[in-house]
Amino acid sequence: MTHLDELLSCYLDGELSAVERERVASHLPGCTRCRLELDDLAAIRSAVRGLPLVEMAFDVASDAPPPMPIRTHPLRWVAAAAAVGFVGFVTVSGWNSAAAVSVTPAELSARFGANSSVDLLTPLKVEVHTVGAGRP
Amino acid sequence: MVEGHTDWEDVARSHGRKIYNYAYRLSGNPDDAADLVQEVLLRVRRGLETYSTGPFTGSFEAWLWRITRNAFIDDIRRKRRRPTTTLPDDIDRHPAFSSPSPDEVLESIRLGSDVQKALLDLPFEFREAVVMCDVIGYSYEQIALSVGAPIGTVRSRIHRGRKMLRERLS
Repeated sequence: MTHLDELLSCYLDGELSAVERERVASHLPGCTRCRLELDDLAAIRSAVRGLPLVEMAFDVASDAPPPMPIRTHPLRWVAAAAAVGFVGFVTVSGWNSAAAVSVTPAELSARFGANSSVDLLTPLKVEVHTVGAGRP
Repeated sequence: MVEGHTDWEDVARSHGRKIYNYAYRLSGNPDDAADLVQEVLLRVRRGLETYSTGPFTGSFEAWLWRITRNAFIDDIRRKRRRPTTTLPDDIDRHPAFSSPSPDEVLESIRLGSDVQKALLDLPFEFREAVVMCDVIGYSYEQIALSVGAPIGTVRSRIHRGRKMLRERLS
């Protein structure tokens, strides 16, 4: 019996054609191997999708360079950025902070996509890197 | 796909975010990722001045990604030019291009994420496909256009990338 292989990943991503969907639907109920593989793939996919989206601690759209190097003074930069009303991207957390929360790609698209109404001054809940920490 | 972007700030914020997460998840190094964002936006800004967004909006995002990937790959090649190693002629297929360096492994450990570590173990094409799908959130078609590969290749890379991740994480 041939198995579903990459059709399983396509299935999880909603990328199957109608014919392929039919094939998956008829194969899965009778195949433990493919069902187990589907579970594994779903877990991996969730794990990667669960990685927090990260923001840089400066406004890339600004014509001027950041007021100070982002590598050495991320905390002061965030305070300065907030003071002049830049997009409040971040709340600062450390590398391994338990307080870091994640934003999914879907949330990001909804928030910043072409059809969203963007509230630029409300911070996203994101993980921030204290860029430059530990750099030799 | 991105449509009708003529406003620089729009482009910078929207694409800057994606570039950063792309580079960060592919390299495990936030400093390099931040540098890459600056470099890419510089190249994009220069290119925007001559880019016609009239009838070409459909390929605008593909153009942005071409610049992004070229800059990322250029950066990797630069970093691998260390006195103690010699570059192979065909760097794209050399293991050094797709395997993490000792520095990258240390970075990923410091980040404290098993998933990030496992990502760095993947060959570049698989790592990129998984990141574009599950971090950037693109459809297979968008990925295919962004990396310049057929959809069938993208499907295969995503699937094989996930299977390799599963091996490393189990």
